[in-house]
Amino acid sequence: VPNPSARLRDLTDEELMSRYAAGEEACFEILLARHRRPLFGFLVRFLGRGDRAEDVFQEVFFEIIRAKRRYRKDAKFTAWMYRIARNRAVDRLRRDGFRDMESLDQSVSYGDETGESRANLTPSDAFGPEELTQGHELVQALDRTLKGLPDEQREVFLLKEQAGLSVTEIAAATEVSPNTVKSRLRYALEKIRSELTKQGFKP
Amino acid sequence: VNCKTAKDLIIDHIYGELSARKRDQVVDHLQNCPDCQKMHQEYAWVHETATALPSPLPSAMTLSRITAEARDNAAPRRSWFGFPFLKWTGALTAAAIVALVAVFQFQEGGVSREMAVAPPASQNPAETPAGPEKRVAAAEPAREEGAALMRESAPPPAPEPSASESTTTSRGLNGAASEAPVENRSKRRTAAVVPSSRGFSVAAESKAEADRSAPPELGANQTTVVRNFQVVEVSASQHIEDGFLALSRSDYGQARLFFQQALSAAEPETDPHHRALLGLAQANEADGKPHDALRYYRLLTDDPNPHLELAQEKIRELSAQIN
Repeated sequence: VPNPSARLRDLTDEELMSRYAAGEEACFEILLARHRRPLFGFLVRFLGRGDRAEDVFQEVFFEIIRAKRRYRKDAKFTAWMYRIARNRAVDRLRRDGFRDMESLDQSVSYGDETGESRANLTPSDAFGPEELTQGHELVQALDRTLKGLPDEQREVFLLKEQAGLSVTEIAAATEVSPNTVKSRLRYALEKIRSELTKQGFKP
Repeated sequence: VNCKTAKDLIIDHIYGELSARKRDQVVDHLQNCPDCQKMHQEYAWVHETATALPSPLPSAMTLSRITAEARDNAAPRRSWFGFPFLKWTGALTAAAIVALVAVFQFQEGGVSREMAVAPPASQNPAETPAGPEKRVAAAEPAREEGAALMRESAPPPAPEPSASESTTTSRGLNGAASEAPVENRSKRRTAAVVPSSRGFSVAAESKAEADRSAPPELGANQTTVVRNFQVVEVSASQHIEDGFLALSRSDYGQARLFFQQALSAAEPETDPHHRALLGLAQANEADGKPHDALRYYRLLTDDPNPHLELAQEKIRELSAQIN
């Protein structure tokens, strides 16, 4: 007997979104399950704070829900979702400034490896300094270094590393050319490398 | 491939975005060019470090809000009143009409003593008194459509429902179906008017779907079933929301109570059922009861749901912690 949920899971993002727009609620849940970790990973490090990432994450999906009738199946879902996410996140950064993020002299903490332990209670609980001890020193140094990158470089780097988008998809999401994406990515890699080396880490 | 081209392609190579042919060319070049090799090694190192960054998940509260929003918007809404304002006033007017019709029918037919307590002034449903009498009245078995409509169209007035009230509701749901008083507590439950073969009936708009799937000729029992289904769903979601609020206050005992109520009100294999299980697991985990938490996480893996992946991770983590 074919499992209907298993069949739904085999659908592409675009098919799922179209079917959700037509009233199939289960399709949305699969989309959410599929994208919550990469999207939240991008937001939390781009915004530098868990509570802001929670807000923007919710805004993004609410916007997707509201805009479902306008969604066309031929439009790439990830590019669409990350364009919304990226615009919302940039707005949020402009509104709140970089103050709070810079005031954290240690890396943002995200709970344990799975990000789960207390992260599911409240945002404020989940990102307390007591969670900090978990990470590897190098990873923490990278986390700190990311905060020093210019927004457009951090954005591209995180869309690549956390969200796993291709250069073309990043270009669509950030509305610049693929060549610009690549050059920002190269600058980001170069800056991170040099910063980590300065701190005594070596490849 | 010369150095300039290679340097341009190294990033694509690291991220696996090169065709097989290009990749081979870059690899060939790297073997013979220490400069490019160094650059490749350094960037790959940064990439590997970034891969090790922990991937957090948003809180269950946020996920729960999103799934609730998605559910409320899933069914294509077709209202007789296209604009929100008209919809609202239209619904109110319709509710008044329904109340009027009901009152007339009571005066004509043999209506129970308690129902007669509802004064004719209840044309505005907001003024309908709700108290112990109302509950007793609602407990009367439906004798005629008028009584059924009356119950359906009489939302309780302003007072904020307390925890004890919701407990009453939940008990009512688990017990006799017809005893469930219709509550209008969720902000999402805006009233809408749906046509039925016998006139108007007022139903929660978010559940208009349920009405459409019901047979066109609704008898008293069928109405009760449909209505009962609505109450069960709305009630479970409300309990879940209350549960996560209690959880965010670190009031684990209260959170467990709410989630238990949600669990008993929710249909198996539905989103509220899964969220109630998740809530119970998290409340127990936060309360230092890993064995109980583990039990609920395991229940979450019984059928497909959006929390499956999370539950599996937690099962691994908690099992390791217990041993």
